[in-house]
Amino acid sequence: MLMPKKVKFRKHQRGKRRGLATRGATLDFGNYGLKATECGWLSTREIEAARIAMTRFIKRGGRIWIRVFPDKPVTKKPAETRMGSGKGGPEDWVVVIKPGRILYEMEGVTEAIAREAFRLAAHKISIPTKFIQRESI
Amino acid sequence: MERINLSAKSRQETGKGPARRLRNSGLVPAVLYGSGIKGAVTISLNGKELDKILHTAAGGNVLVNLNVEGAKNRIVMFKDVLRHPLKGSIEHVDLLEILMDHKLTVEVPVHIVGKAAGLAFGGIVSQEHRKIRIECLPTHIPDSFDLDVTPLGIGQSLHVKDIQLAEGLRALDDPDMTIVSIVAPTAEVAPKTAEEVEAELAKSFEEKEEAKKEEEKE
Repeated sequence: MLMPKKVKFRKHQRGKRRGLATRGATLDFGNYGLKATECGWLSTREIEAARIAMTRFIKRGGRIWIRVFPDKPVTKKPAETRMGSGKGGPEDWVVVIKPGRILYEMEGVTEAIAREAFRLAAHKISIPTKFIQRESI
Repeated sequence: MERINLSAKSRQETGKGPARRLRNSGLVPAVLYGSGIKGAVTISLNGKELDKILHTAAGGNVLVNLNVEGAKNRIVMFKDVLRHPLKGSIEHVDLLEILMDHKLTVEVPVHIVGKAAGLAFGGIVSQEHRKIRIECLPTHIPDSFDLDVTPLGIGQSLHVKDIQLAEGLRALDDPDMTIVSIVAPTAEVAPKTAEEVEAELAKSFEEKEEAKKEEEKE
């Protein structure tokens, strides 16, 4: 699963998610893509589950690009713990998604296959998405 | 080379408030600059007309006869088109005035033609670059370049130097830059689970311990 090899700080603050994606909002590699339409956190498990769903469907045809990388640690306090006594330990890695961000790109398959593969992938993701394609294919 | 007429109105108000009002009324804020213009001129364009022009076969590479109200006609090209990240609508346009006797640098789309031989063996057509930069006179700008991939097998590729350029055109990109290649399909590798990683680490630790013990015995 995707995660940084080393980090400068083990625990991050949660931050805000306002605004639209200004970077990573256009198709740069493939002909088809999956675009987020709302904001949220995408965890490394979700990214991996969606990738597996897509690769299993397209089998050995086509290429997939993952356009996001989870580099933000999320902490969690253990179950049945009283409040206080400091911040919990790092549990997961997430990427902050803003509306318009491309999550995956695909090439080397027909539009029908790409649509179905992205539909399966979208079921694994906690953020609403839409299918997009290059204007001149 | 296509030449299209486009009418524009000059605008005095700038900033996000007036720009939003313009967009709501179906217009697109734009800016015009070039060697014959002092500074930049702020104008507004018709959104529907603009959308039609940008969807021609040449993409944005069209010469536009810009008719700004109360000013002389100018020949311009699209320098930059800013789109909304979610809706895809045109937010802003940069127009560059061009001189017909001066060479300019443009990006021309490359289209793939034919079915590669490598596809029969499970290969995938991977287009690394979709546009190449060329230098030419404004009247010589091609709509697109067609690249025939029919003879390509798995592992073979076509480069910038393989594109047949007409007289008066010069490619500015590296001649060895790959445009399209036929790549072998990659088998899916199952990701390691946390238990597998732990088992591997434990195994390597045991091996190290055994090696240490043997050294001590010797």
